[in-house]
Amino acid sequence: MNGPPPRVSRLYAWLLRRVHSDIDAPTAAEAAAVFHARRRDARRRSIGAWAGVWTRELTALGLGLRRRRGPDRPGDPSRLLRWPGLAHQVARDAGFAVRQMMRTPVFTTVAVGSVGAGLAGILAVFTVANATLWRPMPVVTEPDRLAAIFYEGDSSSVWSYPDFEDLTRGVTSLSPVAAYSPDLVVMTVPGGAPREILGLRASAGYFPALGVPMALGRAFRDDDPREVAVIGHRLWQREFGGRTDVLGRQIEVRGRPHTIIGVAPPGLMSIREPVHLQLYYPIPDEERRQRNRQSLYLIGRMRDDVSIDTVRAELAVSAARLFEANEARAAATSARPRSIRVEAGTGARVEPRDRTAILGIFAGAVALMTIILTVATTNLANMVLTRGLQRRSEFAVRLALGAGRGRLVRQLVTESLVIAAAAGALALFVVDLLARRVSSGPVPAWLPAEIDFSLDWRVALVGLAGAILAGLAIGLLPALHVTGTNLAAAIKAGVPAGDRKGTRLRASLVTLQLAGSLALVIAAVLFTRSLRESHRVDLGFDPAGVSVMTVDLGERQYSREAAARFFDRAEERLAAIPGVAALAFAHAVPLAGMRMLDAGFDVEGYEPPPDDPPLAVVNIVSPGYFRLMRMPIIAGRGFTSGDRDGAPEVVVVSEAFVRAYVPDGDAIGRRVDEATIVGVVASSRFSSLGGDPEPLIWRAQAQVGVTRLVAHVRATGDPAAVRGAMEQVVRDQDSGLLAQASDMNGAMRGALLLPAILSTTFAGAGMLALALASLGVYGVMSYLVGTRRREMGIRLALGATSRQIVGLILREGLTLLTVGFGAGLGLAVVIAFVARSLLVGVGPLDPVSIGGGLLVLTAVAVTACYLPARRAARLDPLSSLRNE
Amino acid sequence: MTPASRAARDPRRLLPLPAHDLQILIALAERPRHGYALLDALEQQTGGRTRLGTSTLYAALTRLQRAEVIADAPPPPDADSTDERRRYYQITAFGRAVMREEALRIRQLDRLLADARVLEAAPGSRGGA
Repeated sequence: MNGPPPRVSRLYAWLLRRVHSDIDAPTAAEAAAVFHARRRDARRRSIGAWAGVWTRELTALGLGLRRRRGPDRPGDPSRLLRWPGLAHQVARDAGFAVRQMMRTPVFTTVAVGSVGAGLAGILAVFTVANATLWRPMPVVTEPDRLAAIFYEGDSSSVWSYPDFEDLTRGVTSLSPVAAYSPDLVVMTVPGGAPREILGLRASAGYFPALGVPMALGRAFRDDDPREVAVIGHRLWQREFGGRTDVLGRQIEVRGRPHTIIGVAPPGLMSIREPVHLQLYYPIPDEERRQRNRQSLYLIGRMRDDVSIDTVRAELAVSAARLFEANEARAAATSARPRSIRVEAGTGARVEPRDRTAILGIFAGAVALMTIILTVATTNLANMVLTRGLQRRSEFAVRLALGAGRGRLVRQLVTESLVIAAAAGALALFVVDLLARRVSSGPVPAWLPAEIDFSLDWRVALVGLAGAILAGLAIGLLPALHVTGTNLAAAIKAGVPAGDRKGTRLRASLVTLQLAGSLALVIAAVLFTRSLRESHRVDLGFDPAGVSVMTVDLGERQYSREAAARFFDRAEERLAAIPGVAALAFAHAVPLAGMRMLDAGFDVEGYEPPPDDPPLAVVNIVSPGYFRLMRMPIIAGRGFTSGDRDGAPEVVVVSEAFVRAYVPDGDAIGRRVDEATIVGVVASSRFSSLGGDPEPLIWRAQAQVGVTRLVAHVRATGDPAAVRGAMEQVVRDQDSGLLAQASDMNGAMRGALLLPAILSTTFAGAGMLALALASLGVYGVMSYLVGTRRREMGIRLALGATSRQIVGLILREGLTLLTVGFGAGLGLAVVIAFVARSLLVGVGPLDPVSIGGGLLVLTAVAVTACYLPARRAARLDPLSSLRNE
Repeated sequence: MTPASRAARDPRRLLPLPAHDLQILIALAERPRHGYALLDALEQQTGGRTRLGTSTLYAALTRLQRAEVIADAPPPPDADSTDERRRYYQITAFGRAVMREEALRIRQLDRLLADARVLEAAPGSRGGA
């Protein structure tokens, strides 16, 4: 057997022996292996074949169970289930429930819809988490046997190629082993335009480590020339028509022609993200020599007969040797000794710190969805309770005739489970549809690859569990109550009068709803305000009307001198475009997701505390940048043409930098490492909209050789027309360059994405919960008024005014609300504090949000109480006294 | 199950054979096979109409082994390396006897059916409902 058997196989072997007691353990294991092989081969054919294999197997096991009772079977009959009796009862109850559901279509639709919405929310969140964390990679052979090597602690676990070689040389427990890194690269297929895609640069061991066969051709080897590539299956189909003559053809990657030597198998995805990769190429020679360049992830396959501990032990020894050698070499960044972690299986796909973050977000989203689901199910529970109470006399009679209470409860719960099952199926269907849409939909600019969120059995299982829990939540308490003890009174009275326990149950259910709704509504207002504040945050610069265009010459292998000449010429041509009022270059755009950090620099006159080295964001800009961005210079000057290569090195810093590192105020003339501060600019934002603005340093473009610059243009008149001309300038100089100009606000949209998502989600959730809760309150109050008609009739007959009646009922309703509101406020505060870091411009205890939420909910709830109260006051006292 | 001495064991006592046993024996009579190959062979025998559950097959194999109708077999020399770890099954001499007895029984049945003209196409012209 290859390694330890997968979990499904172990479960199957166990089940097999339970059903057929004379099969021994080795045979059961073999049967499990054969079943595994059949499933695998069937899945390769089609999903239908795979489903057929499962269905056949489960049916065979089920029949095997039944047959055990035959006379030729000695040995113990299975006590798994008392099959026929229970099964028939449940089937009958379910059938009755379905007919019931079809008789009340409105109720059924609302019920299935609201529970389905809550379940769909949970399943959607789980699908994303599943795709990232738990779903095993398709196509890869035995993904449980893959292991990745991480650093202990918080930093990103990337290695340099020489370190990778030294670390894995001579290691036998993990083999084959590979280094890889996803890359945004510009690729051009023959006859096509250059475009940016997500590719992977990898060492020769990558495909062997994954154990995947090529669809065509072969993977690259260490002795291959570096200008070869393996393309993805979809790319092969789309751009090359799936023809076998693609081998040997050339595509341009990063400015150089690469020969296609292989096609990856269909469905092969990235290890770390649920995306399909379309390009694989070898790690370039320059990178193989640089010990200081750390950007590769490591993955390997554990040898068949070893455990993860053996691998960890062997690698620990190797790592210790490597770090020692690096210290002796005084190789700067690699010298930091770290402990390494080796994780196998699904743990190999995501870095430990990312896993924590993802799980955190996931838990938060699930909690949110659960609140909605709870509100929906409590509504339904109330309705089920009402219907159940109407059948009380029937139950009383049945109980008196000897039916077990358990039997009755089971029947009632089955009805709720049927609704929940329908809701679950609906939720799964909707989520599956959405997942397919996302997978086949437009590709986002920041991740040019096809995401794959397809569902697997885990999602189905969560859906099933969720449906069962929802069904129980809806049905169990009402069922227990309705079949409870004081049925004698029920038989006598006919109509439930003064059903105190039931009233308390209802009241608690409604309180739960109110709490949930209030929390969600407050959160909705809070995040909407946060979103508005994000739009109003003072950025420190003015992006309106500015167009930006990234020119990345590194992709085309330009040298520094050639790059400098390119940018000089581009500057001339761009400035000549009609309508251009200001032009400048910068290395990065604020709030667009990319930034460079400088740490540990030396500021003259500043003594950093021991564990807190100075940290700042660095941008490289041309003269005229600050004027273009409308960033006020509050001391000294900006950059001039005199700040060039060979002249004394200068920097400009932000106010926040001065506040942090030049406490005695006079920054002009101070030295930062080798450079001198010549200017101070007002604080501005770079990394995010929340929190305090961080320290910023700007360096002069002419003094730093860069191959990637973003052209910034402020135009008079229509910016869109200018953008076209900007792109043309670049294309005229080099047609192989990717040239895309866009509005600066558009580039910064990423920073606003999260607040927008949050506020939309909470707003939607809040409205849904509010609608459900108001229905709930109305329903309960109506019911309560209905049970007290006699009392109201008496009061009215004795001279109570309508106002007094309304007041009475409202007062009672308000006690209900108060408790619910208290709980809701508490929950809202908890949510706000947990999400505090995501709020911009408002605090978690924002009084406007809390007040607004309370106001909305009070208005709705009071209305829901008032309507039945008014109805009670309008009763004709005589008729209400007469009918019971 | 402790069998009596082999000579005293009567193959006819195992008749009629349960549902798929005869098919398994026919497949194994051709040559020894392992579990997965048996499933394929059975599927082919019925032209794809019958696809057995893995549990059904292995329950049958266990039963047949207990009755000493089949036995473990060494892997054949032309098996490839991945098959080494699989168990091969072969039919025993006793098993062949059982198979033959069952075949005789079926043939008798077939003659009975022919005599009663059960499968004749003519509607209602001969006797019999």
